[in-house]
Amino acid sequence: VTATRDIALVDLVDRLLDGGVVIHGDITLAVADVDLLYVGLRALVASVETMEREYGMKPALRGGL
Amino acid sequence: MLYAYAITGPVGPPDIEGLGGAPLRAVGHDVVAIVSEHHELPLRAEPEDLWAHEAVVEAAMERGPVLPMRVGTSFPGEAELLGVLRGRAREFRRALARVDGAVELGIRAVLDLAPSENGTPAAGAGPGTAYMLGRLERVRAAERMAAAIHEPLAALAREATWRVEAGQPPRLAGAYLVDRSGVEAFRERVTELEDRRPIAIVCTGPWPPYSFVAEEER
Repeated sequence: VTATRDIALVDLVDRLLDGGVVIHGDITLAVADVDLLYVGLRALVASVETMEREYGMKPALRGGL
Repeated sequence: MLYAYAITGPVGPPDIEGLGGAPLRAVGHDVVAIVSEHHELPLRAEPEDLWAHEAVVEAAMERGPVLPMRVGTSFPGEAELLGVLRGRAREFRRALARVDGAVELGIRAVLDLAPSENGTPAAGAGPGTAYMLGRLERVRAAERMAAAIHEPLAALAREATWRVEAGQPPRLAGAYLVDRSGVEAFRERVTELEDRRPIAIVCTGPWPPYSFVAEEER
């Protein structure tokens, strides 16, 4: 499971960023904080994907979660 | 502020702690939001925080259908949250019914094309044309390969969505809304598809139905 945890993290972040119920309007607080959070999440995914490219994704891919 | 994790039917909050150890509350009546109270945004872009957020949504999912919130959703107070729940109650009830009894499964696969599919230059074509034709053929081959994985899986799902991410090699990312009772059969089909090609397909989940909460089809 540890080996696939990074892959699962990419899947989770994908879902957190692009999925879920969106509330429109000015009602939500901390807009700047959320923007920062999103920047951080994209950086997190990019770093995991770079690791996959450098070390190979295949061994970690087997097994599922 | 109230930090919101998910919308559920009229069930209580899960018996775990929210982000930063904050207690969870259920706000609303018929359609309910699971929230915790904070002074500032409690979530950082760190794996521990993301998994803690996810744990709340998954715990809520054990009690009935859930609609996960887009990450980072927060409200100044109960009045604003209740206003949203009231205003969109009909949509949320419909969305909860749509995902009731189902979970989301994700797959990822690296579309490693065989050399023969990797774009053979056409005889007599100039270098620019050959390059473009080769590239087009690679895109088509990746799409065929993706469809050969996606379609047998989509047949086991209530709903499905997929995309091919460009890259060398391209990758397939798919999401499937599957009845809870069908999770094992889905995973078995993933294994069959891996053996047939062979190709490595990672199957993650069960997830809350992040990819199946939007009002319209995507």
